[in-house]
Order: sequence, then structure tokens, then C-alpha cells
Amino acid sequence: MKKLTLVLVSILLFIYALLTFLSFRGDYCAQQELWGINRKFVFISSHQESTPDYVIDQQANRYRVFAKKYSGSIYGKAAQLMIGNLYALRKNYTKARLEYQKAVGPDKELSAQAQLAIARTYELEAHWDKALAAYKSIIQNYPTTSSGFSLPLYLSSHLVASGDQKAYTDDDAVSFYQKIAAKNPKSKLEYNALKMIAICQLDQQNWSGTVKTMQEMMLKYPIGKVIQEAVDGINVLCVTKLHDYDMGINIYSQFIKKYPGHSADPFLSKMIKDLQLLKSKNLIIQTSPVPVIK
Amino acid sequence: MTKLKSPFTVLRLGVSLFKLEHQQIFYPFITIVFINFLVLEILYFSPRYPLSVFFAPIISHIWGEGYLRYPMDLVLLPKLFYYVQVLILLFLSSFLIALIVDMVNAINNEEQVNFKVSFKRSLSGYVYIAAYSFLSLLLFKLFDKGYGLLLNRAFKIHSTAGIYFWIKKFVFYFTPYAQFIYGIFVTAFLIYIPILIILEKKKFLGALIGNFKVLFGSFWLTFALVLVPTLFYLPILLMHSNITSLAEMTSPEIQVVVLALNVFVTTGISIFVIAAATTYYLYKKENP
Repeated sequence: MKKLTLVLVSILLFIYALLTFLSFRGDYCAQQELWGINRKFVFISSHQESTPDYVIDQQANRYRVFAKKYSGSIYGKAAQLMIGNLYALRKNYTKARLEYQKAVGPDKELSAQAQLAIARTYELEAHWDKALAAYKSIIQNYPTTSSGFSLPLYLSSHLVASGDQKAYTDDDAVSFYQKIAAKNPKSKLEYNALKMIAICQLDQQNWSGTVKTMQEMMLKYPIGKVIQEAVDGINVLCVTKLHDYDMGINIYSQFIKKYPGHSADPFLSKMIKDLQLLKSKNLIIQTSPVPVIK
Repeated sequence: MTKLKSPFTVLRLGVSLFKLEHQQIFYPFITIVFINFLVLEILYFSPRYPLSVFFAPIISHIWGEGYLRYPMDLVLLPKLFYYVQVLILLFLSSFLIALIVDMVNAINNEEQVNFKVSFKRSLSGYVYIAAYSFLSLLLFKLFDKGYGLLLNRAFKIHSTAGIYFWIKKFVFYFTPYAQFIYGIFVTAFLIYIPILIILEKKKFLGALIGNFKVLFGSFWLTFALVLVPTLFYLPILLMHSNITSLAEMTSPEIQVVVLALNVFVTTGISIFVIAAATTYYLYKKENP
């Protein structure tokens, strides 16, 4: 029995050693190492005030050593970005920007993150013009990265402190997302762009525009979750804002016609009946603003 | 002759079977643990080269690319391992555990315990053992589904105080322990099926009916036979339910350690429980 156990344990150890050797210094090892260093960063960022400067320097050095070890890889650049974050924590924005700049490279997602971090430091320093220019350059250069994609919405809801004026209008944001949707048909990007358009239109109180966008969403992406979201939005807007029951009825009828036998058809048929009932009773339902409790 | 009226007497006798002079009785345990560890090792390395060549497309297609990166791969690992473990349990572990029945019988007949001989003698019951294993799993899943309905109902309770609030809280926090309890119940309820398949060479249906005949009048003793060794699983259960905080305190790799411990303990418990139940069955047979 001892011999058998020894043989089996040796097999397991040999396989472990072999697979460790074969994956040595690969992407996974870099991820593991970077995660370990980032863990320390999380601790520092949650204890900013009590962290002495030498600890920050030690952490920056860890990132530097890592960046050198994995130079040329995305993980090396990610470490560079984290050095920038360390300086930003200490409000040394000039130094932080220098480090962020080093993180810009061939990887678009990471480069967009680095540029975004630069823009944020300008914003934190109240250099709004520089921040806006940086934000706009991200939108232009990295429109399909997660940072670039969400920026128009962020900017359209951002007021310039001085003039109470929006630096980036809802119309600008809508046209940006419309372009993205047109360029990437039948993709997750198009779906996300449509969702962003609907949010911007809601912000503009463009109720009929929002309903049309939601109609487009459910007709193009007939998935349970999308349909549920769209139906919720369409019902509320048609009943409480537009008082146009036919609009909802037409959208749901169109869906049933386009996708006969779809699992959502019974649900949509019920919605049509409910809207018809409301229409026949000529009910006007309005949403009232929630009173502010002082 | 010792009277086997208390579960502790049966369990004591069960312990006495695992001696070094019957060392081949440990072979099923060693084999099951080895196979499980090998699978765990392969799955642990699956997001890395060279195994990633095969596994990465599957993982990224089903769960998303994020689960190929550290430490998210370790979040997915228990799920992946569970799927493979079910297959191992249905087609291999259950049969290897059932071999213990033949080995205990050999010890009872004062024969030499021999893994190969027991394997050959039990092979004819392989399909029925797999069917028994499938039935156990099905019954466990049914209980799971029932508890799921209870959870759904509890989820609808909106009270933030009072008796209903405490019922909701209890139902949520009790989930892993409920699984533990109905797991014991399912095992006790079907435990004599493999014994009858191996020892009496019964077919599945015959063994199922015979199981209830044996259980009749001795259910609570059998339940205690399963419950007492299974209590050793409680520390693992605690680790499982606090895995997030454990990983935060130590390292995400703790997930692998807990899975390995889980294999070790559950296999040990299963083997010990079946040995004790066989001892009791043989006693009952010899002293009707």
C-alpha cells in the first residue's frame, strides 16, 4: 500500500511540476503576481491617511520591478498605470500623469484607461479645459473601449462649474452613440449604444424618442432580458408621459408579427390587452414628482 | 457475541475493519482520491498554457473570457470540478465504494481481502451500482429543488423585523446545513441498495425493495450510522460557506485546498459509512 501511495503521489507531483514549468512566466503568472501587488495597493488606498510615504515608495518599487520583468506586455503597462494611481492617491498629479503616459501603448483598452486617468487628474486640479480636451481625445481615439464608450454620457451629465452649462450636450452624446450603433450592426456594441441613446433621451425628456429606441432594441435583440427592460420602459412612458396607448400596442403587435411563436408572445399579447383596456377606459395616469422631505 | 443495538457499537466495529493487515481495503479510497486529485490538478491548470489550448475556448464560450484570468478562474474552479466529480461519482467512485461491501464480507468470512478478487466478484453489479448512484443524485437534486422553492418563498418576505423576518433569515443561512441534512437522509434511505447488489447479487429493483425491507425497523439506527461519521464533514462545510473571507484572509488558492480536503473527507466518510452499514447488514442477516 505504501508503494502504491508513493507512486500515485509522485505522479501527481510530477504533473504539477511539469504544468508549472510549462506555464512559467506566462500571462497567468503575471496575473497572479500583479494581483498580489494590487492587493497591497487596495490596503494602501483604504488607509491613505495613515500610510507613510516610504510604504508608497516601496509599493511603487514593487510595480516598477514588475513592469520591468514584464516589459512589453499588457501587464507591464498595467503596473505603470498603477504607479500613476499611487501618485494620484498622494495628490501628486503631475508625477501621476507622467506615469499614466507610460502606460499608453498598443493595447487600446489600457491606453484609454490611462488617458482617462490623466483627464481625471486635470479635473481634480480644476483644469476643466485640459480635462475636457483629454476626454474628447479619448472619445475620438478610443470610442469602442469601455472608457471611451461611457464618456459621452458622463460628459453630457456633467456641468461646467463656472457657467452651469453642459460641456457636451445630450445631442452630441446621442449622435456619438448613433454612429457607434450604425458602425457595429448586430453586435453587443450596437445593443449597448442603443441603451445609452435611450438613457440620453430620457435625460432630454424626449419620451417618444426613448420609446422608439426601446422598440428598436427589442426588435433587434429579442432576448428575454432585453424584452423585459424595453416593455417596462415602453409601458411607463406610453401610459404616464405620452398617454398614447396605441404606440405601445403597435410596438408589441409588430414584435409578435416579426417573431411568431416567440416565448415572449403570450406576455406581449397580455400587455396589448391591458393597454387596450386602459385605452377603452380613457384613463390618464400621470407620475407626480416625489416630494422632497426637508 | 456483541449485540449491535447501538450505532456506536456498529461504528466501533466498522473502525476495527480498517487495519493494516487488511491493507487492500484502503485501495478504493486511494484510487478515488487519486483520480479526483488528478482532475483537480488538470482543472487548476486549465487556464494556463499548454492546457489552455484545449480548455480556454470552452471556458470563454460558456462562462466568458474573464474566468480565464486569475483569480476569477478560481471562482469557477469549484463549479467545473463539481461537474466532473458528478461523472466520476456516477461511473467510478460509486462502484469503488461498493467494493468495500465485498471486502467487509470477506473479512467477516475470515478470507484474505483482495482488491482484484473483490473487483471481479462485483463487476456484474456495475450497471446497478451506477443506477443506484444516479437515483441518489436525483433524490438529492429533488430535495435541492424543494429547498429552492422554499428559498424563493422566503425571498418574497419583505418584513424587516418580527417572526417572518427571522424565518427568512433562518431559511437563507440554513441553506448549506439543509443540504447537509437531506444529504444524510438520502444516503441513509438508500444505503442497503449497493450492499444487496454486491452481496446478494440482486438486480436494481430487487435491491431497492430489499433496501426498504432492511430499513424497516432499523431506519434510525441506519440514520445514526450515516450521521455520526458525516459530522466530520462539518468543518469542511464551514470552510465552504466562508470561502470568500477565507480567500481574503489567505489567498485565492485556498479554494483548491478546500476542494482537496473535501475530496479526502467525503471519500473517507462514504467508505466508512458503507463499511459500517455492511457490518450491520451482515449482523442482521446472521441474527434475524
